[in-house]
Amino acid sequence: MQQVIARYIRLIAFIMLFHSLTACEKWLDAKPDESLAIPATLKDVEAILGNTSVFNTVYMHVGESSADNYFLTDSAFNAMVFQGSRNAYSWQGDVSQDESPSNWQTMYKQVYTANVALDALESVERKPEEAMRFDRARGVALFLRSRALQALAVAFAPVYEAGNAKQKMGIPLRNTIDFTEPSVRVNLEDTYKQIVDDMIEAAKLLPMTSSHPMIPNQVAAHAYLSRFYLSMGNFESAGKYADSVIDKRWELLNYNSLNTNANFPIAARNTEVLYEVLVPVPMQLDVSYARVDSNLYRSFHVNDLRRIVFFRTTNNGVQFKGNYTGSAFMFGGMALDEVYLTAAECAVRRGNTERALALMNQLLQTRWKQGTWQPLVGLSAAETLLLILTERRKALLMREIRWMDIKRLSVLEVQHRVTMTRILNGQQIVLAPGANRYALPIPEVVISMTGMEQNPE
Amino acid sequence: MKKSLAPAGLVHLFYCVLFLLWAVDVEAQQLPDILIAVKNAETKEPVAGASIYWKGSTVSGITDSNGVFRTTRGPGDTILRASCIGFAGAVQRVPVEYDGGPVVIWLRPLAESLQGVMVSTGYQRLPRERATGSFEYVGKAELDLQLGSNVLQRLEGIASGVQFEQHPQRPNVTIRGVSTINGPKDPLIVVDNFPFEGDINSLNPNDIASVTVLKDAAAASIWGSRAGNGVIVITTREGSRQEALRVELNANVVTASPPDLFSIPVMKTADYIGVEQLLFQRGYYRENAANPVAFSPVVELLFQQRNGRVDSATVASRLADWAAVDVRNEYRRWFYQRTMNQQYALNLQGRSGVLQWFMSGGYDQNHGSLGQLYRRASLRSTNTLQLRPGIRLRVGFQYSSMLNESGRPGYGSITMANGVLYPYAQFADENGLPGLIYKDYRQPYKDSTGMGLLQSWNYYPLTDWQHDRRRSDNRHLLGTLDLQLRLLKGLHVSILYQYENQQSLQEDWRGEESYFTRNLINTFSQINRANGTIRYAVPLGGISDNAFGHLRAHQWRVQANYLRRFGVHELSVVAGAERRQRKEESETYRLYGVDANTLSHVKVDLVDPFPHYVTRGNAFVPSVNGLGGTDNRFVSMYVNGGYTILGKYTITASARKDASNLFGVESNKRGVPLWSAGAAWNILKEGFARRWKLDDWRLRVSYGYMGNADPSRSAVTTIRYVGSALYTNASSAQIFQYSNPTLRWERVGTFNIGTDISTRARRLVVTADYYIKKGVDLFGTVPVDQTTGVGQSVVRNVASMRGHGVDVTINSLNTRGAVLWSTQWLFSYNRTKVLSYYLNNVLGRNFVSAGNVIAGMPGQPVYSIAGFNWVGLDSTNGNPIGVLDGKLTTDYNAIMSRTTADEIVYAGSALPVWFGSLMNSVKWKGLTISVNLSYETGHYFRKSSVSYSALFSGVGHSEYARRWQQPGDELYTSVPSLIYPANANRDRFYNQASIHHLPAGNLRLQFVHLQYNVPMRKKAMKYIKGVECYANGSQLGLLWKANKEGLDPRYPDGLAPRPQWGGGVRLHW
Repeated sequence: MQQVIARYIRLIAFIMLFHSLTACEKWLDAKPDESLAIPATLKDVEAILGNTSVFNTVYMHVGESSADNYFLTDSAFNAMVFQGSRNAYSWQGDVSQDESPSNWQTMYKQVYTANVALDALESVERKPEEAMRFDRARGVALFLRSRALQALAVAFAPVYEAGNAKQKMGIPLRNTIDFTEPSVRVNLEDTYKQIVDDMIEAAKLLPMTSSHPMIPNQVAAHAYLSRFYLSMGNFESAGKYADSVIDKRWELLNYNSLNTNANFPIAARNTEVLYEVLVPVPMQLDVSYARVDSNLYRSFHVNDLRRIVFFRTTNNGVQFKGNYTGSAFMFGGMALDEVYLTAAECAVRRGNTERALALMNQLLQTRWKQGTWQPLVGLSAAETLLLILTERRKALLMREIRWMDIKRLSVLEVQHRVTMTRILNGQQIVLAPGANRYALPIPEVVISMTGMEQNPE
Repeated sequence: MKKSLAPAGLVHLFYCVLFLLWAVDVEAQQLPDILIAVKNAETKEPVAGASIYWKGSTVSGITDSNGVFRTTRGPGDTILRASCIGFAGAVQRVPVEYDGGPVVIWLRPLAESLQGVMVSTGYQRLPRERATGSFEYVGKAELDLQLGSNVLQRLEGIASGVQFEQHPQRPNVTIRGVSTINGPKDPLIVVDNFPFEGDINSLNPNDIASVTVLKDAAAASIWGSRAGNGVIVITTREGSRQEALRVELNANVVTASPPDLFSIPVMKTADYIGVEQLLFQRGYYRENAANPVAFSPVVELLFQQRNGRVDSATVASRLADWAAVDVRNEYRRWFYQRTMNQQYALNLQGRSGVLQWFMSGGYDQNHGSLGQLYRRASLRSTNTLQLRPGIRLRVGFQYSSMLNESGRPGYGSITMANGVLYPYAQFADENGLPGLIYKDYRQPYKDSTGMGLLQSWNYYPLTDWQHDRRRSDNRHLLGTLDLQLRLLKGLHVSILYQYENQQSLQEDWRGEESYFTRNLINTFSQINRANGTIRYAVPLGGISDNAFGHLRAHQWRVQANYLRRFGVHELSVVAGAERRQRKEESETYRLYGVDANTLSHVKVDLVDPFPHYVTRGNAFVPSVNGLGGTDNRFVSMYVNGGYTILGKYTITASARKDASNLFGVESNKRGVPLWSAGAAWNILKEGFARRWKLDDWRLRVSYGYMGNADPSRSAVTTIRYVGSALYTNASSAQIFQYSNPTLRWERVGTFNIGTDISTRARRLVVTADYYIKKGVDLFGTVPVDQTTGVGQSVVRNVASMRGHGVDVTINSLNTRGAVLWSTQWLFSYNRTKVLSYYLNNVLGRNFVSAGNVIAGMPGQPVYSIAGFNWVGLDSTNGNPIGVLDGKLTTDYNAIMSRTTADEIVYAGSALPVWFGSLMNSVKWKGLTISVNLSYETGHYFRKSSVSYSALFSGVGHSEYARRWQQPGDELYTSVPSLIYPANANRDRFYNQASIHHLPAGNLRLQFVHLQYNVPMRKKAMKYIKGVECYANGSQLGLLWKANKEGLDPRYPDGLAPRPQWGGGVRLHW
């Protein structure tokens, strides 16, 4: 009998042991990888948005590659490794061919990453003591998404015109983290509406300043709004936001303080940098291949310091070295000089020629040798506008801005429209104002996969 | 005459007594009694119950429990024959001048013997005749036919349905072909009872008793979500039941010549120089003062010529000198050597009272072809304690320590900044002094910059490796406890626990003399030209990278085993639960400015950017510092039951459920429990089968599901913290996995039908299985719209595949008698095809495959060789011609962007369809020779060829010499003409065209094994019981290949493994 009891005790002990191994909901709650997390906290969101490798060290170059700030000799053209480089330069075919990741992919990754942050914020409680952090995180996400979509729109959609934007194709707006949702091009009006609305909301949420120019702040948001509105031909709003930046922050970089012999005379994070993005240089824009148009170079007065700050003359042509990055990286962010030029242009277009001239004088005296700049006074509105556009063309080189300017000018005054030419193997190629090519072709692989409409050739 | 002999362990004494008896008797001049001892040739243990008779006579007897039999001898009785179930029969000639000593007859166990073999699933050991599943059993004797440090590699050519491959992108071991597309592809390795988490190389092959491969659902589904690719169960050796201490020593050495670098299809040096000259003329190379990236010596020379610094005669003579150089000769001469692998293993076993024990030690030392060193020392002990009747405790312990040290640089590892090396590089000058190799920056720049303050920027590979060393140290510890107790009649419970601990430490040491360190110091040097001083952001001194890894795995199991017979009914059930935890921690860090003598190091600023010395751009001092930690936990429950009636009909069933802490994929909620069912019929036990001259005939059938869990996949968005962000130093995370809510674990359903037949005395033993495998919910890499922002492809459960095949093993004993000739024939057939694959476009180029990626075309093999339709070369310009919309075209962009999937040409499977091996063993006296041939056929491979885009970046191909150069060439060549600039799509089209599809069938000599069991004189037996000498050659190369191009289909780009020759000795005491 005792033996039987002992046996049953053993059996029960065994069953308990069995149970203890399998009853373990808590035990399975442990995190499988310490460095992994399901984004659920404000800290996670900040870390996602703080990844400078995603947002601040990559940007587009297809606009600059298609613009007239550089030219390639025939041998340089032939030495290109990617067909996309040649296509961008010669204005035919897919500008993204052979390149991986394409600009399209790079920028939509920023959109996706911002969406992941916005999605995670939905489940984060906005605690009163963290309200500022919460708002800033949301502001940063909107800022980044808006900025990325606008850059894509400038390259891959036609120019915005207030009257007919509903009839024109915009770009796909992705506001979801679900990759199974199909991408559809919306019209240009809706494209720009979201871009602008996001940036306006971001400006409200962001703090005035940030600890590093790679971290978005309100001033940078306003500067971007001025760029966006300028590209849309809304000079009223563009001017308003540009002025608000200049009112808050007005320290221009005096080029007289620069070491003009340096490889890269303009330091990174100088006082003009409002938002910093470093752009790796594609082969076609690399100084080994790209040459600066000699007419452009000659347009700089000998007293204009930019002639030696921006350019290096070698025995086989003029090379660009005026990056706002202190390095070979191109600058893809936002700087104060652009805001001055935008404010001046808007001022003259809004009838305030005097303010426009004052802004230009302020800007240019920091660009010329000390004491050589003769302040301009009494120019007509048309003369002032011409001066501003000329100076704008000379100032914002290799920043992915020229393509936007060429496009928007094509729907403004006839005399300011730009006709670009290239000479390749003895043949002249012309890109006339308003050409279909102004909306660069969307990568072929995206078209074939989504069936979305390609821009006309 | 003596039915019961001396107790075990006193056999020696017994022999001595007999010897004395015989010595006394010797005067009598009678035909003496003959003492016969039958022993297992493998374990040296006596074989009881073996039948013995004189050839040509009917008089026979059976050996007793000590394997001994004594008989008298009639006239003409000269040949003794012994046979026993489970062993190959053997004969032994007894000389007329019989010396009175015991006549030892060695019986070689039939490892493939169906009866008596206990197959192990890791959860239970069951007799093979009660199994309904498909098991492949490989015994120690077969494992010992191949030498080498890795136990799995010894299965090659031995285990049916198991394939080995040395391919970087495909799984190395597959069981019955692939059963997944993008999930983990390796089979589960189980050692004794538990999955083995450590490095398989830490197991000493000499400690392995047997390997069982679980191939179908009935065999493997008990391993649930990890069994989808099959399971390999390794059983280690245990202590013997014999009292006597037994000692075995095994020592061998294996050597191979260095790899044949001339099998690599590289272009002739003269051609290479010609291309460089052409590119130079076309302005391909550009000098950039701001970033003086190194050019090759030819380009540098041509620049000097252009600048008037050298005359054309000097250029011509130097180019001629260089054209005579082949860097492969340089590698061969300065860096390569023969490999030399030594292996020693010692084991002891015995029993004292209730304790059965086994102890072993092993030591391996391998010197690779580059002088790299691998050293492994292992120690193992297994003790089984019969505490009380019904209570058994088994305690196991294993420790191994592995050391790896890097050697000299191998072919391809010495490169310029662009990742390639010019083929006229010379590592030493004519006096044997180190030769300068152009690396990162141009020589004139290096010579003129730095005001003499920088480190030398020159790179000398001949000596550089001496200062650039990698060393890793791995320690692996395994402890097991296994308590088994009898609870009720027929009911045993076991409680098992295993602890595994693996620590690894790796150091990459780059001394101050190494190029790596000098280059980094220079890159981060800042020179003040005004006062001639230098500041270092990377300090002088060596650089030490350290990586620590620590793996700990705990596994607990509680299991009940019920085995009971009720009359004609026999019931066997195991049920249990287990928990597994696998915790891994890692840490890497780098120290700068290390002084190896004082072990001091210097702090560096990793946070702020510094100006790059050459480009002046921002640069951060490189950091490898990081921490990692994973903690994977699993809980499982399982049950497996079998019921046999009348000893004839068996049915089995099993089920298993897994839960884990992995993100997202909640198999416990979403997954279907994995299960199997099987049935077996022992035909021979039927009345009508009695008259058949068979030993065994069974039929088996099974069906079930196994899973394939991938812990790296997640259904929800996960982010990975990546330390601090560049520039801002704020906290930074990247998206690691994209929200993928439909993700499930893969499942593989297997249907298996098989039969086992054995004729009388096992002259012919056949096992044949036919199976159908169906993988569902398979992960597939799906190209995704880049607009989604998740990249170019995602992984989803999008595919399904079906495979079917046949595994046949035939063992025949062709001759018996003095010469014992046996043959083992393994025959496998396997075909897989994609059933469905989610691809939301039909773009042809997505289906082009060289067999290293999955081409998800329904109806085609999972790994297939597929390419563009090839027409030929254009006779006017040597352009390759393709087909688009049924028309010939040379518009390569259109071919790439518009070719549809149905225009792709499929050659066939990239994996063998028919494969197997044929092994013949001949034994004569103590001498055994085994020859193993393996074959593969029915599959294809893609040959590589020249790509001009690659060539212009420095990567050439020997086919360049056969390129089209003038009209008419197209008649005998298919290599397109050289064009500049290169067209990447033209190159892609040509290299992926169907002309490169070649049949991959081949026959190779897998190994030859020669063994001699030295006949022991009885005097010597006092000191040593057995001596076996063996010699071995493996990877002996191709005997036949299907392609006409002379390429080894396994290694079309050269560097096939060289034949390995070895020899050794095994001693028994």
